[in-house]
Amino acid sequence: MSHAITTAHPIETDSRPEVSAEEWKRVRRLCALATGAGAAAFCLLGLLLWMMNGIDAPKQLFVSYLVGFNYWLGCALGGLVFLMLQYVTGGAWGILLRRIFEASASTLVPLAILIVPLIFGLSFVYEYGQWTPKPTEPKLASKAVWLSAPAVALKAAIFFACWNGLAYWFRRWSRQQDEGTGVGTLDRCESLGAPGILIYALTVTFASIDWVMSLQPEWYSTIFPVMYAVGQLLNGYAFALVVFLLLSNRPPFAGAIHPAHMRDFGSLLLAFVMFWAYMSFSQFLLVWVGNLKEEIPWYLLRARGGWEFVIIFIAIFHFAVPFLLLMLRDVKEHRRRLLAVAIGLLMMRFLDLFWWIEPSLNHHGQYFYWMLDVSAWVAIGGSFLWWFTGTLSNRPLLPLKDPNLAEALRDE
Amino acid sequence: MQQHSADTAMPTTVENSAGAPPVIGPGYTFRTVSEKISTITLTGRTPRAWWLGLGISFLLVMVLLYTILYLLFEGVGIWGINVPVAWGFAIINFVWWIGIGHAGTLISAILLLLHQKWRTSINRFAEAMTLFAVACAGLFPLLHMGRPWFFYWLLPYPNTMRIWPQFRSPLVWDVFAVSTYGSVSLLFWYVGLIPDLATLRDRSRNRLVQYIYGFMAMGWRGSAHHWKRYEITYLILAALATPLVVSVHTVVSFDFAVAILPGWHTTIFPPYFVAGAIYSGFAMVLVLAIPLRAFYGLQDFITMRHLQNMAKVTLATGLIVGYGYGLEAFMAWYSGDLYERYAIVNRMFGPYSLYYWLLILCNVITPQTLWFAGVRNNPIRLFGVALVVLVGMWLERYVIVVTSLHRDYLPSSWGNYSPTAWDWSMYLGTIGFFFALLFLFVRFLPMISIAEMQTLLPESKVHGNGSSGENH
Repeated sequence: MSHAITTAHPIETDSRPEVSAEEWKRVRRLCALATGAGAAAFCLLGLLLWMMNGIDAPKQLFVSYLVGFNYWLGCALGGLVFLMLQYVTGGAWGILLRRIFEASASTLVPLAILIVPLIFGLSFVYEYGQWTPKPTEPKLASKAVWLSAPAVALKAAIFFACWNGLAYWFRRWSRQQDEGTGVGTLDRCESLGAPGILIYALTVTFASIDWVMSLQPEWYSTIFPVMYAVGQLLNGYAFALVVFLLLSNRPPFAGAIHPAHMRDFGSLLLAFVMFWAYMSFSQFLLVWVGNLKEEIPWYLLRARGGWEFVIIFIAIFHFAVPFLLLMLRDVKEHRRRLLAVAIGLLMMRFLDLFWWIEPSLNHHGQYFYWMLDVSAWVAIGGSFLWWFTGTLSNRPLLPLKDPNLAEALRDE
Repeated sequence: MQQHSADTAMPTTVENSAGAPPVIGPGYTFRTVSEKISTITLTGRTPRAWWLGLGISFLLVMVLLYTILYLLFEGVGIWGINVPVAWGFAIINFVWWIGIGHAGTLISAILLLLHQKWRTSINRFAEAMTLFAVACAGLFPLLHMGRPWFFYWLLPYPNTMRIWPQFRSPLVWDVFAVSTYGSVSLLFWYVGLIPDLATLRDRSRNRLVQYIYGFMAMGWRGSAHHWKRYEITYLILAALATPLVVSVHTVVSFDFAVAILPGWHTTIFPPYFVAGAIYSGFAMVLVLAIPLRAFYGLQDFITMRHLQNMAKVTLATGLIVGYGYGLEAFMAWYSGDLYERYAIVNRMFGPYSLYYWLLILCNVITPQTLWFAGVRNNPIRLFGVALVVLVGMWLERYVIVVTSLHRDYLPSSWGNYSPTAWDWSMYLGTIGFFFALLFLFVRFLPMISIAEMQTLLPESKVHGNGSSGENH
């Protein structure tokens, strides 16, 4: 036990040369290709299924798009929150992953454009998403206004302004740090970190209600916004970790990563897997035990008609398996194994969102709609990754001017 | 020997980056650290203020004993509880005390696993605080049963009376959660004490004292084998205690949330209760640490760094709690449900509105001052804020328990609640009990871990190329 604690040798990696400009270009071409292919598949499949009466169009198209959008938004916002968090808490893991978090957060720019199709779909997808508030019984009148299309669009604009504003300032100060042009840039980042997280908490609360919870407008759960946020954090962190591990056998990471770093990376992933499970189970237990007509329909829709298998699959592969694997040092210290767990979790995040969103729509026994979700995910993911790699390849992968960098690279 | 093997598995550097105050004052050696901490315990002269503090606490313990005696004689009718508010002070104080205990476990277990070196000087008395708080908490549900001598009926044991615990009730889960929590916390605290008890045994000149500490030190000689086993045990106990930080207060939140009462049945309760528990716990650690370090001159061990970090944790958990209040109110409005909305309106503007707004003032508004370094760096102001938070967290439980119970779905069953003098005497009595235990603790046991403090010294760092093999 103590042997592993004090081992000072860097982890063994099959070292390869630094990522060249040509390689980045190739990756970005692939991303662009994925966007095109995904978009084409989405349109063709949509048209085909529509003609065959296989989907409830156009509602299904927007709902499928919503799944993909929420997924990549999670990667971006999760990155933004971890970027702020690592400035607040400090620690080696944060410095090593900082550039990746910054690049994730930068994708909030294209995502602000990619949400526009959803705004046009509001009236198809959401019961209250009409451009003039839906007439309803008096006690729900204020809710109808809150969830009406103009209100949701306005709120979305405010959320994206806040998020992009935060991402912009953090990247600006970090660039100034790199260039040595700013004074006290690290202090500024540290000072904005805590209020930034607060802004995220408030905005994501209302965003999750507007975009996901109100798919079933009669349903409400106070833990849902927190659960949604934890899902985003897990998404953003697992994504950053995958990118990091893919790059970790190349300079500047190769030879600088120690087992202690790897254990911290794995443990943090484990912590968020546990947070996610804690939130999900708490909501389930309390709704199940209460069995109230306002609450239980959410689970009834998601536990019947084949969805019960999805629940079991999620319980096993989103919690039990990664939980057990991430307890093992043999997994955490081993690059490929940790990579496999993180990729598995990224896939499970998609399934979890799919399970949250899709059952709110009645599919009338149609099955092939999931292909639309996957193609929307690929299309949005392609543009996300195109922007992400563009930002990431632009600057050194480590914050070379950060005074804590040397300490972070030292083995504990 | 002792220091040598401690090096191998413990964090060893004095963390002092970015101009933060150090975790230990300058100029200390292994010997002076031992001396400074153990003298408080081994000195023959007991400070007069200690006698005064213990005396006042002891008087309150007498009040507690008298209250319990009268309670057993007369029954729980001496309290203000009645239908519809059948859970008055008993559950409020139970939740308040058990919440306070959480900071001790968080500091000793989670911060250990997170390599937070600043935990080192505050973990010992924070763990003691946990134990004493759990002892105070446990009294309330036991005595609320009316016939506490039948408490063992809560345990699933084979019997001829055909009784069996109702496992669907979170109150039964509480029995398991709290007793596990108490046992693990006790073990963790005791295991941590063993090397220090041996130090006290070795430093003492009095034969009897040597025997007592020697007996408690279980033959500790500080050999490399001892240290190795000690480190492994300590890490395992930390890993066991970590889920307990979350699970105990989660189960406590279930006590309320599984009921379908508006204001109680809300899914945010588990994380929000856990955050509230840590919030009040850190406030209590501050309330204890600030006078202790001033009185015993421990400013070099419990430095400004510790106080600042605790202030930050208090602020962060306070914000989570505030978020919980806001979300509850928003969701009640969003739900459009008559009863959910009424529960919140009744909280804010009903007969107990004063408590609600005081709670907001104490728990949400006052801790915002912690954003300012001027408050975080000033022990007296910090002490004030922490006290206010402790009051606020008590008010929070009062508001949750009373406002939801006193007016439920059916107006014909509405009623009001007010505590009696016996409620107050019981509550004040447990505060006395808590402080009496704490005074005894600081006099007879080392309140700061000597062995762990020594690992913070620069001379405890491993020299050489850092390979571990030769250290064992």
